[in-house]
Amino acid sequence: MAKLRISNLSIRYGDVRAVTDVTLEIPEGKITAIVGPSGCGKSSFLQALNRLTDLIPGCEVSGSVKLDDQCLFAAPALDTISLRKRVGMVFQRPNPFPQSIRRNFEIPLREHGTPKREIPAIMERALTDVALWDEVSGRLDQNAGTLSGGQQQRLCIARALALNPEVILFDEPCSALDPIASMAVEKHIQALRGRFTIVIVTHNLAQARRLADSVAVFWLRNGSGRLIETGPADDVLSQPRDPDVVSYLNGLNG
Amino acid sequence: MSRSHADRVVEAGLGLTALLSGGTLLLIVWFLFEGAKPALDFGMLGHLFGDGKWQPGSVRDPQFGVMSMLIGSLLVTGLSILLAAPAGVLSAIFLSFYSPARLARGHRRLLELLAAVPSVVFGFWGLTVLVPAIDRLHPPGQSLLAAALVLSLMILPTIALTSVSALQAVPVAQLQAAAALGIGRPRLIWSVVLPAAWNGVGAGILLAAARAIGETMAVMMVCGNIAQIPASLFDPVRPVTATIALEMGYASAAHKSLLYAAGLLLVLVTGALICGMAFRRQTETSLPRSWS
Repeated sequence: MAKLRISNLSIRYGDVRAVTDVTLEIPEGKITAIVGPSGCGKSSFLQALNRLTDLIPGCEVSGSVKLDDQCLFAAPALDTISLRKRVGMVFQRPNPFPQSIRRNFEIPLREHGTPKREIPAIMERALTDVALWDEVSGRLDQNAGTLSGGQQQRLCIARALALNPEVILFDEPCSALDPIASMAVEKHIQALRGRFTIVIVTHNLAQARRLADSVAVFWLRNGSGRLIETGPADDVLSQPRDPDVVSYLNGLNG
Repeated sequence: MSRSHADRVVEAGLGLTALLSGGTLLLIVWFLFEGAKPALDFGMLGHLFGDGKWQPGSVRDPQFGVMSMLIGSLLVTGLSILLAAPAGVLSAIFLSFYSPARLARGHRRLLELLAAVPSVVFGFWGLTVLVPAIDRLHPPGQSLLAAALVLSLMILPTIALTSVSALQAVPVAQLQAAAALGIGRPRLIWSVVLPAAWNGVGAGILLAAARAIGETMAVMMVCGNIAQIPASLFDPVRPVTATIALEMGYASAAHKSLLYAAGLLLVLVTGALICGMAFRRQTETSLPRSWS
């Protein structure tokens, strides 16, 4: 069952074609990893899935993306506020608001109409999901900037979870973290399998191997990012068909 | 020339220029202090704060109460900040988040021009347009309200432009985080951007206050120049700056040194404002001390 259906998606920044003609189905409740060398449009592709591309001046998206049966770009399009409540995102660099840990939950939850009295319970559940509750429960009014990088990233995951989204997009969530913090974050993403549909962009092939149910490989062809191979993780990662993918997976290319 | 020697020369040169700019302030304070000394020697300090009136020229009953003028300065400044700060911050929010890019650019140019208009022109406009209008509402026209309105127009661009810079300095990562959480524009501005920009906005307001309290020409032209504690917005006032400008030309002896003392007082108040600003800044990150 596909949660997201992407057909013939192209993304341009002015004259630069970042992504060309991608067609892909993201299965519900599974982890889909997007891999490929730098600059092949992985992040741009991911940002189209919650229309964060709207924030980039001069960015044009064509083709279609459907969440269940609702169009993201073509009329009658889902409005961005409710789209982004349903499709959460965690970025490469942890980006908590430089305010108290509590405010980091209150701001988005209040925006989506959660009554004030329900927020503490939701916050506790989300922080427990990323094993951060025990570490921060005594200092919820401290600035989130005082947490370590790994803690901040887990806070950002918890903040995304608190809105109870259907899909969570991860844009290289571990690449700014040290190996231990990175493994902790990876473990929590692993634990979210089944509850959420997950799309993760990663440079780390070992991570893709450990996490992903299915894999999509992006590649730069004719100056633009394209999807060149996709399928179940085991197939793509152990028996790739495309020669570029073969050498990439062997560490010879890209 | 060895590298470290060159470095020492540069260090000495830089130190000298820093000393010059910092020393100028000390010289000004010293100059004011010297001028004010007779007032302190005469034991007139008690008169400064104790006398009820300012009539230094009176032969029969000379009085040197500066309080009404200090209160005048603070009222004019406070009221102008009260008017200009909300307007400046709101226009900065409009420019940064609501207006089309072209309008924002044009508006920004206008603000920069407004900041460049000489104060005497503001005073001229106030005297010929604003004062008669207030006079029709409630005579005599030349008043605390007129001074505060003219002054608020003069400091509005400072507040708006520093606020725009502060709002635009909020990291894109924060805006992305908010957008990805489905946070709409009003809450983005109120709960994410303003808390992050507040230090810069506050610094702009303090800077404007420091400029406002020292403004002389435009205020003098519209404030009525009667040394009294105003009972209403429509009463004339006489700030410290106006008094110094009006009387320094003919004052002598005790009167003159009292004007110096009033000037010193003004520098102290402004200094306190700047110190308040520096105190706020302390929370922000600073360059590490050792760069060896």
